[in-house]
Amino acid sequence: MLARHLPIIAALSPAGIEARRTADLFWWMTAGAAIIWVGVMALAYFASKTRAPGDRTRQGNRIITGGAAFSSVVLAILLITGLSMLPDLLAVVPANTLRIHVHAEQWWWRFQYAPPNRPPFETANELRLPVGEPVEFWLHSNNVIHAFWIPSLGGKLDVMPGRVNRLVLHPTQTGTFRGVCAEFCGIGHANMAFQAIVVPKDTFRQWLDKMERDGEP
Amino acid sequence: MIDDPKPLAEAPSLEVRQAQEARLLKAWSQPRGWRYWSEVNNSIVGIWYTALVLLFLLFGGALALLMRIQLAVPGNTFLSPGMYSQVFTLHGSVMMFLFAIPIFEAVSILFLPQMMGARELPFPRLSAFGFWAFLIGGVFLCGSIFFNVAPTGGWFMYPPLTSRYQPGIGADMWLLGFSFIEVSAIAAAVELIVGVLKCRPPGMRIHLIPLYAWYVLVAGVMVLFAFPPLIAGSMLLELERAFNWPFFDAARGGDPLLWQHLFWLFGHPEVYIIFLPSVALVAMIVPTFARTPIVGYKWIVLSAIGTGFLSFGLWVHHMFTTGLPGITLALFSAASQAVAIPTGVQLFCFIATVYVGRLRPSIPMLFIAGGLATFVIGGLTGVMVAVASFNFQAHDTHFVVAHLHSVLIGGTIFPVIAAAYYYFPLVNGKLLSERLGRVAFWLLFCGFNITFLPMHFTGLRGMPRRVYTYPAGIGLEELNLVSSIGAAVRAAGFGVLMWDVFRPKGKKWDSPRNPWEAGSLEWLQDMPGKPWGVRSIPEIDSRYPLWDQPNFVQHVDEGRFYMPDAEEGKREMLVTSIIDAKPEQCLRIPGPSFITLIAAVFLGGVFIFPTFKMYWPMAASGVIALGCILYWLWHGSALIPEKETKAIGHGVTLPLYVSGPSSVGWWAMMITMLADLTAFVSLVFGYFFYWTLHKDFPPASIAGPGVVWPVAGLLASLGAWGLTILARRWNSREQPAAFYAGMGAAVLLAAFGSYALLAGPRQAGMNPEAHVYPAIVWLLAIWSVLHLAAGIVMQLYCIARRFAGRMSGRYDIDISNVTLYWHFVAITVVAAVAIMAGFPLLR
Amino acid sequence: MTHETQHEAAEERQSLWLLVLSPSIWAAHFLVSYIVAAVWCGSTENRADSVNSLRIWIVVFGLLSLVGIGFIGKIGWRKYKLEGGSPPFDADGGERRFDQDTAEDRHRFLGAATVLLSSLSAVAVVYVCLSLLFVQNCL
Repeated sequence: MLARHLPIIAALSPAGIEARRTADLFWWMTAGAAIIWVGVMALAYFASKTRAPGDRTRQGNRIITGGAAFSSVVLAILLITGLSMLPDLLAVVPANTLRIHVHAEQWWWRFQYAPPNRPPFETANELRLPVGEPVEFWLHSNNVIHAFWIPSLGGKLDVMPGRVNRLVLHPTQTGTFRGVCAEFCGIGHANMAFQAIVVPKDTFRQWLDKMERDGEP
Repeated sequence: MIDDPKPLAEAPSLEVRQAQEARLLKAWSQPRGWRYWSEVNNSIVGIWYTALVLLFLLFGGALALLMRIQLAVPGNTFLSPGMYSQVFTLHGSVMMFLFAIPIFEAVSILFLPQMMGARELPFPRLSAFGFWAFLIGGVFLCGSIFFNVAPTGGWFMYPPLTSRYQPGIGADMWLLGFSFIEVSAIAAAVELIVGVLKCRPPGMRIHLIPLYAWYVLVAGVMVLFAFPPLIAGSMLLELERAFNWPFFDAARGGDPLLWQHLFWLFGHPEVYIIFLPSVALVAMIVPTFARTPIVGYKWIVLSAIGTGFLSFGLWVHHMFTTGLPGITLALFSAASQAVAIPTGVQLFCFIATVYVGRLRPSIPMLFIAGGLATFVIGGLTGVMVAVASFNFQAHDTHFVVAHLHSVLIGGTIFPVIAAAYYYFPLVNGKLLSERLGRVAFWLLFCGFNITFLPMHFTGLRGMPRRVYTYPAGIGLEELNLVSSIGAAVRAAGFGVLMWDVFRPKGKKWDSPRNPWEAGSLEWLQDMPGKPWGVRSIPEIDSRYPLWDQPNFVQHVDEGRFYMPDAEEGKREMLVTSIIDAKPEQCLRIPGPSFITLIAAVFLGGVFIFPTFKMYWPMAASGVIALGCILYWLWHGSALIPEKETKAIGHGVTLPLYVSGPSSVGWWAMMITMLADLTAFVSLVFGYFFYWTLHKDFPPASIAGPGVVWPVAGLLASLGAWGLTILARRWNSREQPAAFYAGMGAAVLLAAFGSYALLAGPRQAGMNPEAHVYPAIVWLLAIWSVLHLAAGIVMQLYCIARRFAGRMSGRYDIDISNVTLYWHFVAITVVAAVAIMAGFPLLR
Repeated sequence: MTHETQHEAAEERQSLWLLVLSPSIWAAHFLVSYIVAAVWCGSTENRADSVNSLRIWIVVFGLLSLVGIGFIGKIGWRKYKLEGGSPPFDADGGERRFDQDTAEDRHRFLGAATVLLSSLSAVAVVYVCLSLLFVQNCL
C-alpha cells in the first residue's frame, strides 16, 4: 500500500501536465499583476503628493492615455498567451487511451473502468491511474450538476445531466491526490471527495489484473 | 448659440422672498404623524431607502460572520450543513439583490435631483412604490431563515438541483421574491434614466452634466437589458417547479445550461451595474478634495458607456467549465480582457485629477485610496480568471470568492463608505467624526486583506465554494483560520462605522454649508436642508457652478433664477430637452399618498402567495393591485391643468401639460417596454437554444399549434393595434363617436386575438409537461396573451378617461402612451406567431 | 463661428445615437460571431473537424466592422475639430478643455467621446479576431 500522503497546495504542486502548465501561467500572471499593482499604487501615491508642472491638463491627460495604451497592449498579450494553451488542453486523444466513465451520484463518485480488451468494472470514490499516460474521463450525471476536479492533475469540468463532457488528464508523478466535487450539488457536496492514486504502469496493470480476477461487474 | 439668461439683476424684496418661501414650504413640507409614511418626496423616501439598505448590509454581513465562524476550524459543527446552505445562499442573495443594487437606487433617489439642481425625480410615487416593494420583498426573503425555510441553492440557483431536488419553498421564495424586487429595480431605472435625460436645469448641456449622472444613466440602461433575462429565467424555473414544465429537464428535451445562460446574461452586467454607480461617487468626491475639475471627463464617459456595452459580452466566462467549444471560450476571453480597458481608464482619470490638483487629506479620500488598492487587486485577479486555461483551475473555488469580494468591496463598499462620510451633512446637517473614520478605515482595510488575500491560495489548494467544512491535514486549516480572524476585525470596523453614523450628535457636529467647498450643485443645500430642495432652479454655465459662477449660491437663495415660488401651492419641477437642457415643460408632480404602499402590498401578494401555492389568493391580490394602480393613475396622472401655460421667470412661459415624445410619461413607457421586450427576447432565445440542442426540433412526433389559429390571433391583434392608432387620431380630431366605436372594436378584436392564440396549442393537444417544445410554445402564447390583456385594460381605461372628461383631443397623454404600448404588443405578437407557426414550416 | 458650423452645432441636429453606434457595431459583430460559432459547433458531427472557414468568416466580418467603426470615428473626429469654429487649443498651444456652456463645446465633446468609443470598439473587435489565432476546431 502506498503511504497516504495528501499534498498541500494542490493546484500549485502540479503532478500532471495540465496542472503544470496552469501553475506556470499562474506564477507568470501573478508576477505581472504584482508589478502592475505596485506600479499603479506608486503612481497614485506620487500623484497625491505632487502637483503636475507646467501644462497640468496635458500632463494629466498623459497619465490617462498612457494608462489606456499600456492596458490595451498588456491585455492583448495576456489574451494571446492564455489562449495559446487552450488547444492542447482540449485536444483529442488517441483512440486506445484509457477511458474511465465517471458517474457523479449524490454524493459519491462511481468510476466505471472500460480498459481495452478487458471486462469493465467499477470502483467507488477511488481512482487508480497509471503515471505518464493520458486518461480520458467521460463525465455522466443522472441527477444534478457536479464538477470533477483533481487540482494536482489539472483543471475541472462540469458533470451535466443530458451531456457527456470529456476531460483528459496526464499524471506525471506518482502519489495520492485529492479530488473534489466543485459544483454545489446539495447537502453532501462538501463530503463528496475522492482519491486519485497514481501508480507506476506495471503496478497499474497488476491492479487491473486483480480487478479482473475479483470479477467486479 | 443660445443666449442664456443671467440671474435677475436685483433680488426681489424681502417680503416677496419670504412669501415665496412660505408657499414653497407649504407645497413641499412633509405630513405629520402617521401620515408621514405617505410621503413621496425623494429626500424622505431616499433616507428610508438608504437606511433599509444599510440594515440589509448588516444582515448580509452577519450571515458572512456565521460562515467564517463555521469555516474557522476543520470539521466544525457550529452550523449544520443544511443551515450553512441557507446562510451562504442568503448571504450572496441579500448582498447582491438587497444591498448592492438598491444602494445605487437609494443614493440616486436621495441625491440625483440635487446634483442636477432639481427639486424631485419625475415620478415620485414610483420611487415610493419601489421602496415599499423593496421593504416587503426584502423582509419576506430575509425572514425565511428564521423559519428554517431559506433558499439553499446558492445565489445563482442552478437547476436541476433547484428544479427537481429541492422540494421546499425556499427556491420558490428566491424566484418569486427576487422577481418582485427586480421589478422595483426596473422601476427605479426608468425613473433615473428619465430624470437624467429630461429633468436637468436649463443650460446643463449634455457635456456639463455631473459624472454621477452619466454613470447612473448607463447603469439604468444596463438594468433594462440585464434584469429581464433573469426575470424570464426565473419564470421558466418557477413554472418547472410549480407545474412540472420541463425547461431544465434533460430527460424531456430541456437543458440546465439554458438557466446558466439566462442567469449570467443578467449576472455579469449586474456586477457592473453595481460597480459603475459606486465609482460614480468617487468621481464626485475626488475633484472636491483635489480642488480641481475632473481631468478626463470625456474619458470617464468613454469608461461608463464602454463598460456598459462590453459587459454584455462576457457572460459565458462564468460557464467556462461546462464543456463548451474552445472557440466560444476564446471569444468570451477576448471580451473579458477588453472590458478591463475602460474599467482601468477611469481609475487613471482619478489619479490624473489628483496629480493636476492639490490633494487635501480627508476621510473620504482615505476610503477611496483603500478602495483603489483593493479594487485593483480584484481587477488583476479578474483578468487572470478571464483566461480560460487558468479558469479551469480557479473556477468555483475560493480563488473566485477572493476575486469577487476584492472588486465588490474595493469597488463598491469602500466608495460607498467614502460617500457616507462625504454626503452625511446633506442627510441631516451633521458631520461624522474624523477620528472614528480613521479607526473604522484601518479596521476594515486590514480586516479585508487578512480575510481575502490568503483566500486566493485557499482556492488553489483545492477548496471549492459552498462547502460547509473541510478535512484537517490538507493544508487548509491555517488559511481558513486567518480568513476568519480577518472577518472579526472587519466586523469591528463596521461596528465603529455604525456607531459613528447612529450616535447622537450635538451642536459640536453641526456642519457648515458646503463643508468641503465642493463645486457641484448638491452642495447648494442649506444645513439642515429645506424640504423644497433647491430654492430656485438655476441657469447653469459650467460643470462646477459653485466654483465658476459668481455669487451663485446667493443668487439661488434669493430666488433670482427660475421657479422661485409655488404660486398655486403645488409641487413643480422643470422638464428640459435632452441635449441642451432647454426648458420644455413645467411639470406638476404629486404629493404624499398612501396608494403606493397599498399597491406594493397587493402586488407583493401576487408574488408571495404562489410561493405557498395559494393561487386563488394570488389572483385576488392581483385584481386588487390592478385596482390600486388604476386608482393611482386615474387620480394622480395626466391631470388636466387649470391653465395652459405658466411663467417660470425670465420671460419664459412653459406648458403645464405635454404629451407625446417630449413628455416624461411617454419616455417612461418606452423605457419600460424596452425592458419588457428584452424579457420576451430571452424567451425567444430559449426556443432557439433548444433548437440548437436537438437535431429534431420541433420534434416530428409532437404536433405544433398549427398555422390557422396563430395567424387568426395575429390578424386580430394587429387589427386591435391599428384601431388603437386610429382611435388616437379620432380622439385628437375630437370625433368622439369614431373614437368610442374604434376603441371598442379594438377591445373586442384583442379579446378574440387572445382566444385564438391560446386555441392553437390547445386544439393541437400540446401538453406542456410532456416535452419542452409544447412548454415553450405555450409560454410564448401565454406571454402574448398577457400583454394583450394588459392592452385591453389600457384601451378600456382610455374609453373611461374620455367619457369622464379627463382626456380630450388636446389633453391626450393617456392614449398617447397606450398607443406606444400597443406598438410593442404588435412586435411581440408578430414575433411570437412567426416562431410558433412559421418556424416549424421551415424545418 | 461660421454659419455652417453654427447650423451643424445646433441642437436639433444632435443626438446621442452616434455616441453608441461604434459599440453597437462591436456588439453586433460579437453576437453574430458567437451565435454562428455556437450553431456551427452544435450541429457538427465531428467536433475535431477544422473550422477554418468559420474563423475566416469572423475575421472578414470583423474587418468590415472595423471599417464601419472607423467611419464613425472619422465623423466624430470632424465634430471634434469643428471646422470654422474656434480651435480646441488656447493661446499658448495647450489643449483647452471644452467645458464651456456653448453649443460648440457640446459638439466637440460629443465628437471626442465618439472618437474614444470608436477606438475602444475597434480594440475590442481586434481582440475578438486575435482570440481565434489558436482555435482550430470545435473541441
